[in-house]
Amino acid sequence: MIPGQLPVAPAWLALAAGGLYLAVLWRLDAYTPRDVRHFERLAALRGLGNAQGLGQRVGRRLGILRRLREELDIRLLLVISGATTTAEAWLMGTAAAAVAALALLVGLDALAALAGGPPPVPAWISLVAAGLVVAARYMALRTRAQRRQERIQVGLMDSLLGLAVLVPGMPSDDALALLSRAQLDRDLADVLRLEEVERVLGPTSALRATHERYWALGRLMRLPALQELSLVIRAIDAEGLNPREEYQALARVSATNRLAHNRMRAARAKTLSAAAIALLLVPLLIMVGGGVAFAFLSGFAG
Amino acid sequence: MPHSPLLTYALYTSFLAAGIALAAVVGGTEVVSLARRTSRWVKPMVEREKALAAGLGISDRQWLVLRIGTVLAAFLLAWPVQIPLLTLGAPMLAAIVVPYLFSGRAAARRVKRERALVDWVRTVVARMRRNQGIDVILRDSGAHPPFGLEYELAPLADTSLLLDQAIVQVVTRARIPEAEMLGLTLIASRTRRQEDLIHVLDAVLLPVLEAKLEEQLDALEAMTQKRSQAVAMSAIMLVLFFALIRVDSIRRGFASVGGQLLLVLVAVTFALVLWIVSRIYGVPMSTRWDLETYRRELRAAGTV
Repeated sequence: MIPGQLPVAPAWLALAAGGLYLAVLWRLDAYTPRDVRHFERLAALRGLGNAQGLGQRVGRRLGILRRLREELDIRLLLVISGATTTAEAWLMGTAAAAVAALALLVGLDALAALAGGPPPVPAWISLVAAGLVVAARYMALRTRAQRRQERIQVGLMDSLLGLAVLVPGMPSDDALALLSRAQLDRDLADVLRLEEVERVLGPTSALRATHERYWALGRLMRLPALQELSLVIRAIDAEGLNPREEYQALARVSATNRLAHNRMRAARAKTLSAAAIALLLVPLLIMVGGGVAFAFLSGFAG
Repeated sequence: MPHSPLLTYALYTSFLAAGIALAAVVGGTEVVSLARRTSRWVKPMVEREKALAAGLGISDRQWLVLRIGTVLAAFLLAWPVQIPLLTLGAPMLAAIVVPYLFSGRAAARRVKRERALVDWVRTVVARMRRNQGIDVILRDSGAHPPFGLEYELAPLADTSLLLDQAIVQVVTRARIPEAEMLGLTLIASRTRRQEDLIHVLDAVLLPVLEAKLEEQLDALEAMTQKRSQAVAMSAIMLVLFFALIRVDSIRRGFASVGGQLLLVLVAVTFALVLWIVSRIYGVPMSTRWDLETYRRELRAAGTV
């Protein structure tokens, strides 16, 4: 390949990129009507969806593939992170960022070629950089989703004590909404807003019973605390259990479970941090090594 | 101007990127303003600094003076060494290291106050069992606060405030999750039957507070261990650095451009390791409450 020239004609490259982009949109059901998508999601949540794709069928048998599909589900990550962006718009934004990175690096090569020098950035590095931009955008989205999930989960667990105090003086969903509004962090309040629930679960979700709505929301957004709460509400509604006792027991159990979980993390952290502290030898060695090298160089020079 | 296929390609890709970005914005990409992005970072940071000051038992202003003072002191100490990077880096290091050093002490003091608060709740329950009214007990605790909670419980003695307003003030002063949980419980259930309140405090609040206190103790232990190891290693590094720069040739080496880059590398590696260690296990996350909103909403709903 002549330096400064591409391995394939730009037109073919653009065509391949365009084809790939359309294929991704098709795979993400971008061309499926919104109502159909909502219906499919609801059916899947209720375990009624039987029209599974090849990926889902294989995923049922191969756990690692299912986990990979879940991890790469951009639509789900956007819902969990609370972004109002659609998956298609996110993909377009990512593609734009990747192509912009590519344009920047190729532009540098072009400027070098105009000045008569060799290209400073090989073509493959430009492509890798574009790929890294995509990976960074995905990681940022995933981290945002995980952090929000954790905040909502903690907000819910800390609200259980309030529920134990407020119910039965107030309906459980009103009490939870009030408690979520009183939190400095707005994530739980945003998730429980009716418009948000309708956006996530579909337009008819507001008509469903509170426990069904919480169960579906907890399952979709992977919030075990909301699912536990939904089970308690269902037990109170269906079996006539005493709400005060049930919520009080849930608050106690949740605090005990959390303590056990955090204890395990603290114990593991002690071992891990001792190992990580050993890494502090690295800057120490760099500094001492550098100092010794300077002394030697000065000795040789002088 | 000579024609370059690469330039044409760069232009095409730039146009393509701009086109896709425009389509993404039209297609519904959420554009978050810079001000909103900044406030997402700044608010928790300010809150952390205030919590640290409260943990140390000093006012926000005193903490600010301490922070500025240490940055200036680091600059003045680094100035005579005549290594430009050190003169700039030392104040920055002081800005980062000071909260790190004090956070251990703040956490220890906070746990002490949390323990005092749990003990006080036990006392309140015991007095309620002896048929004393909750309002009387709270007012009396404000006038005769238990050791360690003098500053926090003082608003309860202020009779110009309604009792639930005084509870909000107590929580604002304490800045600890346990106090917020106590506030949540007291504001909602203070006006209920005495037996119900005793049951809520004894059977729900106290076990939850005790579990939370245990969590904080575990976190404090893990944090203390990490901090002492990191401080010991940092002290060794500092002693070695000052021993090394006493040798003229080494000091000249560190003052050169290569030496400065080496120091940057050392500082970056050191910060990276500390960051990794801090990510292993921190203080468990707790929800922060706006009890004034909670109180107002409960009043509006006619629940209290």
